[in-house]
Amino acid sequence: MSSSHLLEIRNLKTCFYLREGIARAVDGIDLTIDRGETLALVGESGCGKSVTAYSILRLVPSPPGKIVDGEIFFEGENLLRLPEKKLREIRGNKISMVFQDPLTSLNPVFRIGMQIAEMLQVHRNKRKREALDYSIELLKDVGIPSPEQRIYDYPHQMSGGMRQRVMIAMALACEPQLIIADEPTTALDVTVQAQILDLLRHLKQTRDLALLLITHDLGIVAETAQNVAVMYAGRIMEYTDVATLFQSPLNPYTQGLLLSLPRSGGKRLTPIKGVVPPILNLPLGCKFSTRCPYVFEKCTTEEPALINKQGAGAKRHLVRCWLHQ
Amino acid sequence: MEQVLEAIHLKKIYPVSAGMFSRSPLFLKAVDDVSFALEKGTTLGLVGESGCGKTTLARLLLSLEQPNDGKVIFNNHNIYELKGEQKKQFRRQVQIIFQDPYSSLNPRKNVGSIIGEPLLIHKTVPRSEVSSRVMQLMDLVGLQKDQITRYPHEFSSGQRQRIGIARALSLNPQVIIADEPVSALDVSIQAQIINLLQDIQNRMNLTYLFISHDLHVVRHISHRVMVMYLGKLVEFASNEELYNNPLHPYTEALLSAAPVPDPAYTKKRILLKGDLPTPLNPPRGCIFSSRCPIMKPDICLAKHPPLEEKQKGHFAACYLK
Repeated sequence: MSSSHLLEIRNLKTCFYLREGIARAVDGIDLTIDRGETLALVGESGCGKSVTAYSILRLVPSPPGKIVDGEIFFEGENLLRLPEKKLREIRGNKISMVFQDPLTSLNPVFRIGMQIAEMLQVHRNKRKREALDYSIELLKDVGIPSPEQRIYDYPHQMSGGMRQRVMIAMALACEPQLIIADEPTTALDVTVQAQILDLLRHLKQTRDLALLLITHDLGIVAETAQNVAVMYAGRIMEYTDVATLFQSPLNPYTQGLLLSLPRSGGKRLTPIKGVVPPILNLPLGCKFSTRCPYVFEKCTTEEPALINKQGAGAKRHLVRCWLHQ
Repeated sequence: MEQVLEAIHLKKIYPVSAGMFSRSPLFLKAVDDVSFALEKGTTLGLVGESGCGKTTLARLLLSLEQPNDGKVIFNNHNIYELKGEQKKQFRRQVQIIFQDPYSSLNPRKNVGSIIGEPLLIHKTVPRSEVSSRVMQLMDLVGLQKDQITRYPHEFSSGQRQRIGIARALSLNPQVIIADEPVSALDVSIQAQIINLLQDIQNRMNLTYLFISHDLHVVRHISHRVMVMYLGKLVEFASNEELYNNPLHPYTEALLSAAPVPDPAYTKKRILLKGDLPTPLNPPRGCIFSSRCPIMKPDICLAKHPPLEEKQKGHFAACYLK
C-alpha cells in the first residue's frame, strides 16, 4: 500500500533485547512528513526520539536493537522490507542524516573535501575531480568561507560550528528529499546555533527539503518547525502544529514541559514532579500516570489511545490522554 | 549590600606550547582583568560561550588555581595568601556544585560517605553525629533518608545533582559557585533543581555565582548578570537592566540568538558572523571586533575598551554605546 506523504511511519515498534529484559524504546509510533515540511520530534532523554530516527534508515544497532513491527513508507516503498542493497541507495542519497556531534561523525583521517566527494562518487558515479569541485560548491552554500582551501582541511582543524556545516554539506550532497537532523545544534554555542538554524531554514526554502528535527529544546521547535510530536516513554503524547501546541497544549505532559521552562518575570517554576519511569519497568496504563497532576483511576489501569481532538481552527490535534477521550 | 567576596583585577594566563620546535610559547589569557563582587544572599549570573573563561574564573575563586595577577578578598583577606587553618576555614565557606552529576560523584562510595566526607575532613561535627547530619542534609535537598546506603549509579541525574548540592551544603558555606549545575538535566528536572537552589538560598541566606550558557535560566535565577567574552567582562548589570536594555553588541546578539519557546514571538535576530576566535590569538583592539555588527575600524581596532559605567549600575566595555 502506498501513501501520499513523503514519509509515513505506521505503528513502528523498536525494542532492545537486553540482559535485564526487553526495552520497548519505541512502542507504536505513527508519523507523517510531507514534502517541504519540518516536523519536530521533541522529548526528554530516553523518550525514543533518536531511536525513531535511526529506525527510519534501519541504523538501529542490532543486536541488541530490533525493529519488531511497523511500516515506514518513503515514496511508496516500505523501507523496512527493502533489501539492504536497495536501502543503501536511499541512505545518504534520498534521506540523509545530520548527527549531534560532528566531531565523532566525521572521519578524522580524511580531508573534509574527500569525505563530501565520497558521497557523490558512491551515489552519483561522479569522477573524483568532478566530485571535489561540487564539494566546493556545497561548502559555499553552507556558508564556509574560502571553500577552495577548506576542502583540504582535516576535521580537527575546524571549529564545532564549521564541522556542523560540513555535516550539513554532506547531507545535502545528493540532493535528498528528507534530512533527519538529530539534535544538530545541541553541542554548539548559542550564537553558532542561531547561525546553523538559520542555515537549515534557508536551505529548506531554497531546496524544498523536508526536515525531521529531533530536539529537546522547545525554543528551537517554536522557531523552526511547522508540526511537532511530543514523545514520552516511546509513545507520542501529542501531535499537532506548532502554534496550537504552544497555545493550547492538551496533554498534561506537554503542559508540564511548557510550565517547567524558565520565563521572564522570575516567578517560581512549576516542575513536573518525579522522574521518568525506567524503560524496563513502565507503569501499567498511561505511561505519564506516575507524574501526572490530574491522574485518576482509569489512567493507572488502561492506556489511552492517540485520538484526534480537532480544536478550533486546527487541522489536526492528536492527543493521548483520558481527559480528552 | 554587604559584599561577601570580591575579585579585583583577576588575571590567569596559561602558557601553551606552540609546537616542538618553537622557542616562544603562546599565552592563553583565560581570565583577563576581571573585577566584580558577590553580594550577600544574592545570585550573580555569569554567561558566555564555551572557552570564554567561565570555568577558569570559578576555579580561581575557589583557589584551585593561582592567578597571575589580581586578588580575591574574602573576610578581609586575600584568599591566595591564606595558609593552614585559615585556608581550611576558607574552603569551608566557599563550595562548588559541578555540571556533570555522573563524573563528580565517586562511584565506589555510597551517598552517606559522599555527603559525609567533608564533615569528617573538616571535623565540624563529632563523628557520632555525622550520619544524622547527612540525613538532615538529604532531607533538605529532597532525597529520602533511607537512600543513605545507596550508590550513585542507583540514582537518576536529577537526584545525583541533589547529592552534589547536599555535599556542597554540608559545611554550611556562605558562597556556592554553581558551574553549569542544570545544563546536563532535562527540562522537567531542571526546573526542580532550580527551585531547590532558590529555596535553600532563601533558607540559608546563601550567595551564588551561577555559571551557565543558558540565558533563560540565568535570567530566571540571577539578581545581577555579567557577560564574558574571550576572558574579559564585556557587560555587567542588574538582571532586568541587562535583559531589557543590553548595551554591548555581544550581549544583544546573545539575547537575540537564544531560541524563545513561543511561536508567536517575533524578534529581530542579530546573526553574528563567524565563530568565536581562538583565545590564543584574539583580535586586536576590541576583542569582539572580529564579529561585531557595528564595528567602526578607526575607533574599535586601536585598543580594547575599558569596562565603564554607562548608566547607573550598568557597566559595558564598548566605545560605541
